[in-house]
Amino acid sequence: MTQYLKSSLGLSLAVLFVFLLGCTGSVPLTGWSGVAVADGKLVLGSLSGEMVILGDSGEVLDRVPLVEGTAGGLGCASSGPTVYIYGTPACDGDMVYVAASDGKLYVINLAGLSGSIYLDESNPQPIFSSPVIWDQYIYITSSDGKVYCLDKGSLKEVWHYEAKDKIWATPVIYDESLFVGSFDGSVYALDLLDGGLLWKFEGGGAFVSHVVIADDTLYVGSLDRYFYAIDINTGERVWKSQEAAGRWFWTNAVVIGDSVYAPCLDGKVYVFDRHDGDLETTVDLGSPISSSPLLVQDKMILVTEDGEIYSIDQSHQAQQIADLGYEVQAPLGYGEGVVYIHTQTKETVLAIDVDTGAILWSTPLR
Amino acid sequence: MNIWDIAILGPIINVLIALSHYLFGSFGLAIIVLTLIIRLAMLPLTLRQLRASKKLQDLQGKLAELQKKYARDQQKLAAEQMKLYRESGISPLGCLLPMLIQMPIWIALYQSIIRVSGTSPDSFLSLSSYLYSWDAVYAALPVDNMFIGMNLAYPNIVLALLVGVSMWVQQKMTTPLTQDPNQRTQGQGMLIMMPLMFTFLSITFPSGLALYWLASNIFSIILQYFISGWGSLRFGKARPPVGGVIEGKKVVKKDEGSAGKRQDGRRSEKGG
Repeated sequence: MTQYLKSSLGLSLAVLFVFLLGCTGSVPLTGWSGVAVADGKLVLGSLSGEMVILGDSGEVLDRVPLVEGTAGGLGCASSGPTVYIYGTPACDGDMVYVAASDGKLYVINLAGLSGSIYLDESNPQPIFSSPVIWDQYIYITSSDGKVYCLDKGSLKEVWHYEAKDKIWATPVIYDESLFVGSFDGSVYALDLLDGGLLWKFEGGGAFVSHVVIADDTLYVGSLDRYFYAIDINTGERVWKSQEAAGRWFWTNAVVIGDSVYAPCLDGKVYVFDRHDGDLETTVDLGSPISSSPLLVQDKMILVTEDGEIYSIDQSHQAQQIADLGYEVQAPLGYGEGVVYIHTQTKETVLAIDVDTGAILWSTPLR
Repeated sequence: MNIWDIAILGPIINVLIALSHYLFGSFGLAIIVLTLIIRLAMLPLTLRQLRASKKLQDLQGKLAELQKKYARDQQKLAAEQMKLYRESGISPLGCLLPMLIQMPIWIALYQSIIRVSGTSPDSFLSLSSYLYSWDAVYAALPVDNMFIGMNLAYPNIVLALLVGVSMWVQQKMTTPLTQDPNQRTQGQGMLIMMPLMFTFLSITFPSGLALYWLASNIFSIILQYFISGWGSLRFGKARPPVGGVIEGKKVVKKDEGSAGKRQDGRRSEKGG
């Protein structure tokens, strides 16, 4: 065997090795759509890129694929759906609006897929947030850094506002204004009707979660590991947490009474005095919290990535409601005393009684 | 977190992010500087490999003689070749070592770029578990993926072609000239195959990894030039190897007295 042959063989194997190991090192997209509750039906985006409609007992009423077929399967790309759904669908009567990773907003009615539109057809970028419906408009953000306002009937763009970096956070509408944080480290307040900039708050890191509003104050955590309170009228900082958390504030906080409960990826819930930002306590749940929590009957309901569901009341005591044993990143859904959870491992939708912790039903989606 | 995450992936992710913080927030510059750091750390090994490569070039005359002498006995030829390599202190596969050592770095860099560039919530969320509590790390995130008009999170055809060209140049500089048609064919095949393979990989992977390969190739080319000149990369007429014939030209025998000078790649290349 000549030196060239040996070298060729060795280098070929080396590159193949790199190729294969590189493949195993990638982080595949999954999607983690939350469950929307509307008129006794549950609507969510599945990990296989379908809109799934469930009855209130968990029976599957319909599955509507957003795009036919699968993608990938060659080289590093594993076979999978062509679209992934991260945002929670928005329901309006019989219509359901959901955005997907292909940069499209989809409209579904009870008869099936009704229509779809690229937010920016010339440069479609993934959408990882949820659409918000207000009056006759749909508001949605995109990885292209824009906040879009679309006409609900025609799906035509009414206005857009462009931030300096991508936006993954879902916008929040309050008192004819829209509030949203961006990867550029700013929180924006926009006029709902024309998209005009009302104010911009510059924090120290990217904002991924949606803001929470209470008494003219916005509360939001950042990837710089600090938590912020912002005056809703001026955009001025009211307070900033004094010490950095262990990891990112990835998901939204909940306000209960005089406290703000901010879940963190370090597995703790930071409890701040909402007036001055003093850290009242931390509640250590032992597993990262990336799923969006709920406020139910003056309790915070949240689930850790390990699938443990807790409620935290105003005494800052955490009580475990259930342990699913499944990985959960999707936002929690809620309706009439029942929490709905969409798991990312062994994809399943579960209905859990918020008082007793009993699993009322579970529906595997695969 | 497993040993790979703790020992290799975590450090590379954090160094990359911290570097981008100190390099004007540029992820591209951070990749280039990281490449230089890695290549400088491997310099002793690389120099050994380059010198071995040059020795291999110098041995072509003797190898040609062996091939002529044992043309009918391939087993004997292989044994004599190995003996010659051993006596000269050369391992024909020695050139693989720096590449083998760099492989974990390529893999880690690929995984780092996927996570740091924040193209999807899944990969970006997983990044969080790798971050050290350095202020520079948190201050640098999210990094700026744009570098001279390219988004380093996605493949870039121009960068992929540059990787291919630079790899061809580097390969050409280190490929020994030979008179044996079989070896020449295999050498030429490899000369094309490797750049093509890396061009393909560069088109497949995020261009941040291609940037690493390009910077690494340029580093190797510069180093190779200072060790042995342009080597087999000639911009003029082909020069036959010692003791052989190329394209019907006259054999230059070692005993004709010019072998020493001709075998000195750097001097001969610079001389014309």
